[in-house]
Amino acid sequence: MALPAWFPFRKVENSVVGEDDQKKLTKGRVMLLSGKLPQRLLKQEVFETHEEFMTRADREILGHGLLRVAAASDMKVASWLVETEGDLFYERFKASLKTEKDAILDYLYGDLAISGEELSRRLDEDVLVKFHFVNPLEQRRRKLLRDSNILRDRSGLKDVLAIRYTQVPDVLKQRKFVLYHGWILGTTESLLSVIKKWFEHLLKSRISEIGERLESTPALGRMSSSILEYLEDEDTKPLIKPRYESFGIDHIELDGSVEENVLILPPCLQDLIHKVNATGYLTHWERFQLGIFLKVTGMPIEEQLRYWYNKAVDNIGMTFEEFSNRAGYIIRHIYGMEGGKIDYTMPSCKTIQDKMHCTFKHNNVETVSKMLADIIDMIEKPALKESRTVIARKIVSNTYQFDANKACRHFLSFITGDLSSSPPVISHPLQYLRMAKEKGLVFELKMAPSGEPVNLEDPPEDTSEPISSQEVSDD
Amino acid sequence: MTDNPNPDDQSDKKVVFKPSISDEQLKTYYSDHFDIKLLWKVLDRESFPRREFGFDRTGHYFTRNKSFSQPEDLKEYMSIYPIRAAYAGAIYADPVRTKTKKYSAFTIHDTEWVGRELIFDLDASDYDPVRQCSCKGRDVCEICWGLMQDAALIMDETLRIDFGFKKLQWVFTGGRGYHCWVLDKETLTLNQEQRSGLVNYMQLINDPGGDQRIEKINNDSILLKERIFRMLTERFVLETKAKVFEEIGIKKTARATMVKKIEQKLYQKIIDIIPQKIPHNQFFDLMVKYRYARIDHKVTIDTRRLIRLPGSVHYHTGYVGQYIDNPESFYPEDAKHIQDITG
Repeated sequence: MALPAWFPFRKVENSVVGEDDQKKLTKGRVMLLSGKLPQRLLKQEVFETHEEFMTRADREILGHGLLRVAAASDMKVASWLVETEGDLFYERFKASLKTEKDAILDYLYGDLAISGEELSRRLDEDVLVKFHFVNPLEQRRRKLLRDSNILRDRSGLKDVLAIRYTQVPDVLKQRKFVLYHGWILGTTESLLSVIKKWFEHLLKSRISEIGERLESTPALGRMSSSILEYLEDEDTKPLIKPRYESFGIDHIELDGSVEENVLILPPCLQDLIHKVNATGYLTHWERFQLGIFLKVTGMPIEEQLRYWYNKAVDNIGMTFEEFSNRAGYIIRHIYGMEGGKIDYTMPSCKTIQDKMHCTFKHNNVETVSKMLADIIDMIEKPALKESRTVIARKIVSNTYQFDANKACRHFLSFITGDLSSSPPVISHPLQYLRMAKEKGLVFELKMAPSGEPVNLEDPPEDTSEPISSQEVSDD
Repeated sequence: MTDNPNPDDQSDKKVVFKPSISDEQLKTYYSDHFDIKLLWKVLDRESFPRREFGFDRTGHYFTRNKSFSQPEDLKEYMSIYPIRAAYAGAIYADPVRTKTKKYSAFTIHDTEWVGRELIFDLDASDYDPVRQCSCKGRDVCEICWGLMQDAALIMDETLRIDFGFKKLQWVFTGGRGYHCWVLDKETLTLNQEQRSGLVNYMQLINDPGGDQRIEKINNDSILLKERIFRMLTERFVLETKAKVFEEIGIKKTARATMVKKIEQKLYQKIIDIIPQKIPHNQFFDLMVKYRYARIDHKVTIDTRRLIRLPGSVHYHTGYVGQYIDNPESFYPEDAKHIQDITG
């Protein structure tokens, strides 16, 4: 099964592109994604020769690949790219031939997506008839035609697809499709959005993979920077707008250092600060998230470079200058001194949940429970302890339900003591920080002998601890 | 099923728990009667040394982050210390340990998570708002235990038919409910999101302790919908008090007619008896609310959670948690009790 020429994950034979061409290819793809070029399928256009057709297709894909490299160091571009590539994929997939669809599904899911007919064979039971995708008469007619070799092209018949339940947890929750023996069944048409979502998921992973290689591969970093510069052109810049990035405030000064304010910071940033303190390492997008936050809360670039130099564990033997020149790429980028020279604003919770680190989306429930229990332990007043325990239960419950925004909203109440019946939904880390700053901490924490609040990352002296209903099944 | 079809005239026959257990009895049970080999029904032998265990040791403290290189070491530990509750956790890349004089702690946070069985928890106390008897909290009786039996029955079929799982092991917890261990290999490494999708497919009652909102079932979930009607209607009609039906406007006479149809095995006719002004989905929702499985989703989703060890003693009841083949016909009084075992 051959992938269609337009499929962006397809391998291109000759992928070496000169700098001049990079700009053209990138711009071409941006125009295509933004609807400035016809998004119709390549096969519907007229080409003089097959080579001409393949060249056009290859150029589209190379443009996509270059945008991926740019997206790896700029989450705004990444958000926009995932959204628009997802939309283009949806349209093109929908209009593809059955054989092309099969090839794409095979690429995206492997054995985890099969045809309804294949499922029937595996289960030795006609699932298409059982769940009324075809009536028994039609099924018999199809079998006769196929047996007599008349039915070769199955176009015009409903294609039923089966996707393994493990790939579609969201769909399971909605109970929108037939679920049978671990496969959700639907027509390919009805499953288009599900397939698009999986395509977007894979694209995000690939962008992150490039991101992980940026610092260790200086040439890739340079390439990423120059593509971002192309994207700053006046004809492309206005086109790159993710749908979910907007918040009125782009800057909030902290009173004192980040460490002094750690408990009023959004929990996702608290996590990252603890993680970098404890391990000296953050993933590519996590570094971006914390780096931008430090910038928008008032940390100058020199101080931030020093911050990472002191915290990171992968700079052994490097002088500060060497570190600044080489590994400081991302930080300089954040301050608009690399790549597209963009002065980055803090990403929204949507972007953070998609690509970076959200306490309530990406942490294990047990970790969230432990974090809350540790804070409650540090509260001195019994009445406050009790009220925080009630809120902690709500937070844990929302975390279990993967409702991270709600969990975060309750966490704000937990920290500030604002128990209003309908606190606003948190959609941006700076919104959280502004409200936390306004309201302040509701409780005083027990202090360690040093006068510092107890470090939440410190393991307890004795790991034997009081029984907690959050940790065990209470049966 | 109970013999008395009139739920308005039922007196509860409570399960009597005999909880006064001495430390010596616990130690004797684990040293002389606890068959460690039975654990292999649910735990994988090869990964045993990297499995986390947790214990509530008589009244003093709760401890987790414990691994044992040999099953005999686990048995020995449980025979030396009076164990009020024993739990199994997930499998990790390395054995875990608590802090000792010789070694520093190496906890589940210091190593990589490898897997954990897919487990469902049914607990009678989650039915408190809808129990038709006078039981609350830890109490159970024949009437409310029927809810556990129905829940197990419907979940068992859903897991086998809708998800295609083959290896299910039901366990009586020794307390007020069941655990269902799904042991098909692919489930071991499911992540939290996948487990959440799975449990949410089956969970139809939101906020069981609060407003108990019933989730709508799309017509495409035909298997689940049909199953609920097929498995729950009879007991719902026979074992739910008349005032519950009045909640949606079904009067006593209509309900009495429903009972008659069930006695005549004319189940299909039940729907026809519902007055026309009452939408059928109201009847369905009411049945779900009063009879459908209430799953403690946290137990399923949390990949590091500790779960009561089958074969261990439930300290509050004295019953031994045990494997059961037919949860739909099991009663807690059928279980072994530590008093009877240790004398």
